[in-house]
Amino acid sequence: MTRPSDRYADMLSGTRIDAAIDQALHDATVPDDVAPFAGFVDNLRVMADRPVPRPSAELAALLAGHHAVEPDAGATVTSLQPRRPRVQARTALRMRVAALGLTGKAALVAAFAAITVAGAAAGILPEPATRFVQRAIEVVTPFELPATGRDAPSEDTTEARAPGKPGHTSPVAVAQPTRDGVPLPDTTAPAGPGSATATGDSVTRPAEPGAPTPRGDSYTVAPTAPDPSDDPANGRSPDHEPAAGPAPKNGHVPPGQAPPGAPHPGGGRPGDAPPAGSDPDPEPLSAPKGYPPKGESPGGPRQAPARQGAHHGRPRGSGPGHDTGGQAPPEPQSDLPGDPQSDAPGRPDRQHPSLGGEPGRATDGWERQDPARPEADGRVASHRRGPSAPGGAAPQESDGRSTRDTGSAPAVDAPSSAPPSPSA
Amino acid sequence: MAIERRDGDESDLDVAVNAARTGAGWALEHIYESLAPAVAGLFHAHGVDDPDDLTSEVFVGVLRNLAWFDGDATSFRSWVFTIAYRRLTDERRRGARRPAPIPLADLPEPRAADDVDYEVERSLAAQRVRALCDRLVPAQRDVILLRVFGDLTVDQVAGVVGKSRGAVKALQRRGYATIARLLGNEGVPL
Repeated sequence: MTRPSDRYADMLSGTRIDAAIDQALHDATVPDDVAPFAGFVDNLRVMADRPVPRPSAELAALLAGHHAVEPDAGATVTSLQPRRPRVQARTALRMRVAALGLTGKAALVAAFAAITVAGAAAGILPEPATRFVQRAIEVVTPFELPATGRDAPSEDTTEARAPGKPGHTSPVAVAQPTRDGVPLPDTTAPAGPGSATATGDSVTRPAEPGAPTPRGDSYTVAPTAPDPSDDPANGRSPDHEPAAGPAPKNGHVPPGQAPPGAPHPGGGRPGDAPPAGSDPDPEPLSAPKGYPPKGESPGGPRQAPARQGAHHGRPRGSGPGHDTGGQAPPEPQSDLPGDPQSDAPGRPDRQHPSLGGEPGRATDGWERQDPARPEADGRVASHRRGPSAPGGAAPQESDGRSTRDTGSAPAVDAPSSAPPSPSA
Repeated sequence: MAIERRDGDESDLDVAVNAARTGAGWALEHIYESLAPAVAGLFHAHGVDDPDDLTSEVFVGVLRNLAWFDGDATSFRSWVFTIAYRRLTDERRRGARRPAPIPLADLPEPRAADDVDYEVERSLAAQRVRALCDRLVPAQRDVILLRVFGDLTVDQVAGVVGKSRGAVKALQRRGYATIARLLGNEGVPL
């Protein structure tokens, strides 16, 4: 049993030991009972009385003032350390994917595919990847994606016009909603100077008897059907014409007309102007550049034809703010007289006779078949030949069309007699 | 004598530490030459296989973190031995997990000594001291060796080993008692 006096004695001895240790450590004179411990401390210090150890390469570099680690064994070990987490992370990722069930893997693949498609649609992916995804979607699904601006070739740069210039077509208006087969009016394309009615574009115009072929290009005869929009009595503005073809009201298809849903053939194209002087549309429209207004203002008559799709034809033109998104830059247009490429005013030879006196209708381009793009022409042909007249034009339609166009033929010369555009 | 030497070392070390924080190369070398032998001796007394290599590791850490140090020479010494103690702990753990035998062919050849008698006596004394230290409990050995090689106070040792001041004093007394018993009663020569 420990008494308090014993504890007191231990405390005193502890205090003495502390003092003895301090004396031994400080090389002071120590009592005899602490002498062995002082000898032990001296021998320990002898161990520290040794030459300066040779520094390692890394330490030598630091001592020399270099912060870079020189390659040696120690540096190799240090450089291997960051690699471990990467390998472990890859292994962990593989194990996690492998641990997923069938549903999880399918969801993972679907998510990856969705992200890829979204990236391609947004144009984030590189162009080759975007093309690949686009082709894959077109092969797998019945949808046809519009060509992006980057990969949309500009076969005919004469058709490409700068935004704001006449002749541009907005791809927004290509696919218009329909109501009972009658496309809704294009509310997205404001009628402005040179604004195009984004309706169906058959690309090839029906041949007119004896009509001159601009630049010697061949015309493709398309079935002509009387378009109610061209009928002045209809009272409808051609701006509100359907994109996919005329659709008479009440679903009635008169003889000699294409059924509802048929593409606009020939002069029955939406966006075509009615015969001169019969335009009931009071909305001021501007003529394309270089073409004198039909009536009073340069922003007069009608719009240039719109293309059917982004990759079904060449960019025809658009109104202001209706860029097709990625068309080829506008080609420098020659204004020299006699230049077939010229858009100079006062050149009625640039108007197709089938326009029916429609000023502002540039004929070259949308009437010309580009031999350099057969696939585009093939698509055009498919659009050109409607279901009502596959392979050619119905005689009665052609006749009707011809008659009607003939009736409006004198208006062809109207632009030539009209005062030149102020812009000219 | 040791006290005077220590004061001189402390003053030089104080200047060297201030200069080393500004990037002076001579100050780095001075710090290493002043403290590396004590750190290596500490490792040697603890029976580390390669005390020089571990000393280099300690000073690599010291020099890399010198910009964040703020204090005088005494604090710097305590800081250096704190790093050395942590490296020693790591070395013990590594050695406990995987003892690495060193082939004889890889051992460095001993350098020739000028005074053979002194070297032999010194080597024998080192062996005896290490035999004594091996008889101590690791905590007691840590405290006593830190106090001897690091010239640290009880409070500084308490900060290094992460114990209270009273615990360090108790460990110190028990270590002293063990050494005294071994030297006196059991006849372990020094």
